[in-house]
Amino acid sequence: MEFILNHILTLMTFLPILGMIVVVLIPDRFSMQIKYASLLFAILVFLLSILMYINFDPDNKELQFVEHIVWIRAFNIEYFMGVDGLNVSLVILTALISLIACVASFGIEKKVKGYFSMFLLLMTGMMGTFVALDLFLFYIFWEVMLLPMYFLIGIWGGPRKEYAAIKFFLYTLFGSVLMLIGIIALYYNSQPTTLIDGTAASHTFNIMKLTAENDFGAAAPLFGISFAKFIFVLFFIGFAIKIPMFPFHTWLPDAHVEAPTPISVILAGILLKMGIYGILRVNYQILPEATIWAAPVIAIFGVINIVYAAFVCMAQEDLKKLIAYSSVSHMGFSLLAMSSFSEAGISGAVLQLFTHGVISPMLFLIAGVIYDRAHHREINKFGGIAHIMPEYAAFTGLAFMASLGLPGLCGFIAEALCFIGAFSTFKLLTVISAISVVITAAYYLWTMQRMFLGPINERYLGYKDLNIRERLTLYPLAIIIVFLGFYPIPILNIINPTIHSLINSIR
Amino acid sequence: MENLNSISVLTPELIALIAGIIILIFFSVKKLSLEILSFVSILLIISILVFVILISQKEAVSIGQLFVSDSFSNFFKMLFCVAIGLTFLFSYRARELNSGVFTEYTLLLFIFYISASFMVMAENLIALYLSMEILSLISYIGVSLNLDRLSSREAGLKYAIFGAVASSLMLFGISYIYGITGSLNYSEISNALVKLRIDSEPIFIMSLLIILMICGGLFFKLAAFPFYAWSPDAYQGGPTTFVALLSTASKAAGAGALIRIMMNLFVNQLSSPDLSNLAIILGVVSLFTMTLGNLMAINQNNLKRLLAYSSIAHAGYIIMALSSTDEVGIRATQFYLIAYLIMNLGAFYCVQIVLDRTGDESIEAFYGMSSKNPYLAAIFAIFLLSLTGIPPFFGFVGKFYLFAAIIGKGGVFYISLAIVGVINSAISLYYYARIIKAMYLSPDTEGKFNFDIVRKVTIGVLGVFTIIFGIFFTPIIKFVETFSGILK
Repeated sequence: MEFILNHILTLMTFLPILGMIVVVLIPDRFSMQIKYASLLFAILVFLLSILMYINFDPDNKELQFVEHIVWIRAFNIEYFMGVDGLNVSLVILTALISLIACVASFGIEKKVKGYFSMFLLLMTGMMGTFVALDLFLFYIFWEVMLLPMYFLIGIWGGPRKEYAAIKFFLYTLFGSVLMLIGIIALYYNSQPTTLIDGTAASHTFNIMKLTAENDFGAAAPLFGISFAKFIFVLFFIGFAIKIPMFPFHTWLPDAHVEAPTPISVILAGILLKMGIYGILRVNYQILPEATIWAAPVIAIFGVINIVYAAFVCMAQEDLKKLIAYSSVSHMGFSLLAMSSFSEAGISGAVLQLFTHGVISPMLFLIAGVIYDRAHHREINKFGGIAHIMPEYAAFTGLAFMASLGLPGLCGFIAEALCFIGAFSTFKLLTVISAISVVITAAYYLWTMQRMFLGPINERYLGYKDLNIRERLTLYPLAIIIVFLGFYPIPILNIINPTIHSLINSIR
Repeated sequence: MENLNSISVLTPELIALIAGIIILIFFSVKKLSLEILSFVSILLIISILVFVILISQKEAVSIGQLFVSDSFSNFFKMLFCVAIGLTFLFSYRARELNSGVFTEYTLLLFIFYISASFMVMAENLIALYLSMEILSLISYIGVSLNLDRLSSREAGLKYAIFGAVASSLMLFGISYIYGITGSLNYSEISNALVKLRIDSEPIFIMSLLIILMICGGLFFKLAAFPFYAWSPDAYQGGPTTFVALLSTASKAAGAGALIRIMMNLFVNQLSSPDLSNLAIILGVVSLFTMTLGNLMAINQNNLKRLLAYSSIAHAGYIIMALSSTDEVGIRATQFYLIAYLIMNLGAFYCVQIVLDRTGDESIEAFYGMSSKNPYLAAIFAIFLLSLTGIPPFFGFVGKFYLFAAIIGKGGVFYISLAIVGVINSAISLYYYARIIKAMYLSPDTEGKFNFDIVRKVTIGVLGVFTIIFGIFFTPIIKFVETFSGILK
């Protein structure tokens, strides 16, 4: 037990790799065993995350469950992992959504072995990205994620899968190579420090050391702006592509529409959170002055995300595309809120990551349910589904309401916090965004009406309601959404202390 | 005694020479089986490698002011040995090299080793020119050896014409340098340049330009802008194993000689402004090289041609790191050459395997490879992703090292160069991914695809290295640090 608690982050990150090896060793014909083996590892990771949550001390502002050894001495690279309020909720989210996506993946029939080995590799990449605190390590995990994602979309995706997969890969790689320049430049401009084992190091990749011991004020300006600002821009573009922030968002609808349902779930539930997390972890912590300089621009882009994507949603015919754009819109809330530097704002931004990370997977699962039956997702072709599949309609209603921010469901708390936080700094922008929530309500309700209400379409009469696998994925999410809607303290509690010290360091 | 010592450091080259002569005499008279010939050759290459390692324990030795054997040259010799050994391993069943020419091919590879290693040892312009010229001649012949193809002979001829231009340019430059400084030895030229700088500024600047002209000959070897046009045709026409060697060992030889000129002619004596001129020229050359290479690779359907353009781009990355003109850049280059050797040879061999079986080297030959032979598809994908520079593969660490070398210098020039470099490596993903797409994303095709165990093991080992050294690269860094003793 002691051992598990001391190395819990390593275990959570690398258990899926072990699972991948197990899956690769199982012969092709045992496809059911492959699925159960993967599920076993996803459950293990989830249980570990629960264990971590129980043992996480919310009052402690310092890093917890730290793993820290020297990895590559020549470049002062350390194997450094840890959780604090910024990432602990995201780690739990990753474990939860991975498990649900794994259950949802049981419907996969084609090349089962390849699918689940890629899926487990993806889990490692995601978990590692959230827990790594050494920039080099962070970058490795960040990139490791791209590869399985490319294959998962490209092999098991829809009709335009090749296009969507390469577009996703190219966009994110473009962003991350810019980030790589930022990482190396930060490294070479960092002050001499010591590694964890006490040896002296002339430079460091350690995010905490870069935060505490460097202000990069002495570094020579680049392209007419200060060094810190230039590096800020490089990192910001890399993360903005992942969020995705307007105008870098065009990969997302393609990737979502073509990806198989479980992968859409992962994409919306976990991958989109990495952009915001990265900005908070790297840009906010390491480059606070540049962050203050860029805050108004971030806020404006946040509002563009919210308003523009909401209008685009109105025009969508494809249910999955609509949900994809609604994700873009909802990520805008986080962008707007975090640029206000208020405690409520940043807490709201992080909570929004979590709540959106629960709601949007549910939405994609819902889109998957109807696609499995009808083999299309065109909103206008449906009608009266509520009479044929009442349970399904109820879940859809719940998820739509949660997404549009109905009080009593968890989306509302996060959005409210975001607006409260943002209002103190950006009054006009907040008002504009708050009004655009009406558009969100409009497209969801209109979709609801077109799909579920009205006359029954004869074509869909024979459809069965939710099966056991779909229930297994939808019920847990619904329970979390309702529970956190009334009582968000379990998540807010673990977020707040770190946010408090983060804001103090920026001011 | 001193002469004896200087001869003893040439043992590896002497072994190669004797091996070549023996092959010429015996094997051309009585044709032995290809397996025996390659087996003997591999043993010989391994013994050469052993001697190189033994010699590398010694101090640097100068051989008559013409060549110098130091840890830097030993590093490159090891690379050549590994590359040539792998070439033997892959050549004896190559369909393109029918048994009629295999003896000659073996001979060529030994001479390849001798000329390439003299090239990285040269510390005299004429010595450099001669060894480079031998290497070029070997390359022209090697490219033309694909007797079944008309394009092979065409490629050889084109290559020879381009080579003639580049080498005459180089010789022209050398004659000028001799006229100005009265010497051909690097350190003497360097001293003369210091004096010239004080005596006559215009002539000094002219001689710097002339030195660049000499570097042009090396750009030809590296297939860098503006002397890259030969390489797509040569790579497409030539025998795949030989082309693989050209793209790795020959480039390494060019890079080694370039580093020696750079460090001996510029760094030791001259002050920084001239060095920054050199840096800017190298930077611009690298910018064009990688951008052109990458852009032209995008639309290629022939894999050998695609890899030709991609290796032009990689030469660009190498020159980019060299534009830092310091020790970090040189180490990064050496590190990258190791990574590049492993992954690029691997990629070419994967093409070779399919080519031998189907006679087809276009992307179409790889459609559905993931179901026809999952092993080959997976290994090839690893090499391609590593070439793109995606972690956790060796190529990523190599590229990281290259970019670190120039970003560490800071300043607008280097940062812009780095930005162009990383955007280029993002572009390169597009065409590498086209191959991966063909293997994995296209609909499954019927039939299986199999190949022999030797090749399976070889590409497997290269693939494993690509992964392992991508995660634990400390040994490679240590190795490079031991063998980067060019700065005295």
